[in-house]
Amino acid sequence: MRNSAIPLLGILAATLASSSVVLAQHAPPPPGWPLCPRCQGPQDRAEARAKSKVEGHPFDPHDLSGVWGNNGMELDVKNVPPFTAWGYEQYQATRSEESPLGIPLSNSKDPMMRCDPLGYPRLFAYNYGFEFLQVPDRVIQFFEWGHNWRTIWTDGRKLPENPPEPRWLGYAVGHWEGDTFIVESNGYDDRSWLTEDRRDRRWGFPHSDQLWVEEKYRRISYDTLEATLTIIDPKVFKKPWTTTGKIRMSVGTELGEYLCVPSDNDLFNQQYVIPAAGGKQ
Amino acid sequence: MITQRTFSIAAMTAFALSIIFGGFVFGHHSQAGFETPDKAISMKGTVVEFRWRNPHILVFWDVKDDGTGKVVRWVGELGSTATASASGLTKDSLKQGDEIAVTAIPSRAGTPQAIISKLIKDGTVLVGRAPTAVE
Repeated sequence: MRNSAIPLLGILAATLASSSVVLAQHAPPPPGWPLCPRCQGPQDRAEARAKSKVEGHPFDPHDLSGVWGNNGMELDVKNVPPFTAWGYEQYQATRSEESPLGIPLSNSKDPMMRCDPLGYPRLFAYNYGFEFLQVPDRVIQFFEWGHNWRTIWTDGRKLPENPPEPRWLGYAVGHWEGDTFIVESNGYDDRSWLTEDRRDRRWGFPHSDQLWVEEKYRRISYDTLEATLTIIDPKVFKKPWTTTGKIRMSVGTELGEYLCVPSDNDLFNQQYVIPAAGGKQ
Repeated sequence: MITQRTFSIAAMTAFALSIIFGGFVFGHHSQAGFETPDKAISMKGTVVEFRWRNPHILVFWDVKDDGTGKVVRWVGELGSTATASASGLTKDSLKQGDEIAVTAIPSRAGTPQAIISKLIKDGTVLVGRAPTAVE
């Protein structure tokens, strides 16, 4: 089967490349209006990078400004730390509901499916691209998903020991150690998920109000951020959970507007997700 | 008329198309309620609505069974408006009354909801997503 498929794929690719297919590239945006990070196709991306002369471009390691990524950095689900007993209970409670036919109703317990705020650090894991904007006393991080932002204060203030009100995106402070920008945050609203469990998308990873997040960002080239995110939540996990990776600059883009619109989302669930599982509309 | 059959050629066609165009990213919801790509089906129909909205674009189309005359309304899913536009689709790519040929991965429940892996209008491939790329 595999042997016969290879020449067939070659024939198909050659045929299609010379046929009436016209959608290899994005429709031209209005003049002066860059594409959003996820609106760039591979060719758009290559052209933008060439135009900006990204390779070998000089950079200031203390300047993080710009649009980064186009999806988010998924948490390291291959190295999830062991749950506490309470944490495992919370994890099990995230399991998707099933239709009368026994078919999962998508990830029905996912707050995202109701257009609840993703919160942080889920917006680290899933954001459609983000932008850092640095001003003297703070770094503002804008996220395309939800058209949302958080403020990372760099004016020397400390995190509140007993945050007065839980926040979906927490309380965040930042400082530089050499060329590494370190962000610490707490005070999170425990209704958000850390991320969905992409090993089997019927579950999500919960957190408690004790969640503490530490992030490290180091710009190692003009278009590359090295990022490390550590989740410390002793009520849910027996050990810290660390994710490390690189985030590429989305050259030639600007953030678009991805809003989770409850009425659109309800219609999508009612007309598509629920009936697909054999549930009633 | 629906030509429902398990297929390998169509899946490979979609795969080949994905090499050329890239694929949509389905990040918003689980695909647990849908069949595996090898159970994709092909059909021809008439567009009723092209809903260019998030979280995911939906295409509604009617398929008439030539034998019985019965009409079934299908609902097919594409990516978000951003990822779809990256592949060249626009809000004007389809309109009511367009005749289309669709290859899609149907729901496990046997209902007329499906993930669109390939869509052709007037001989032009508008969508050629790899079924294996479902996230």
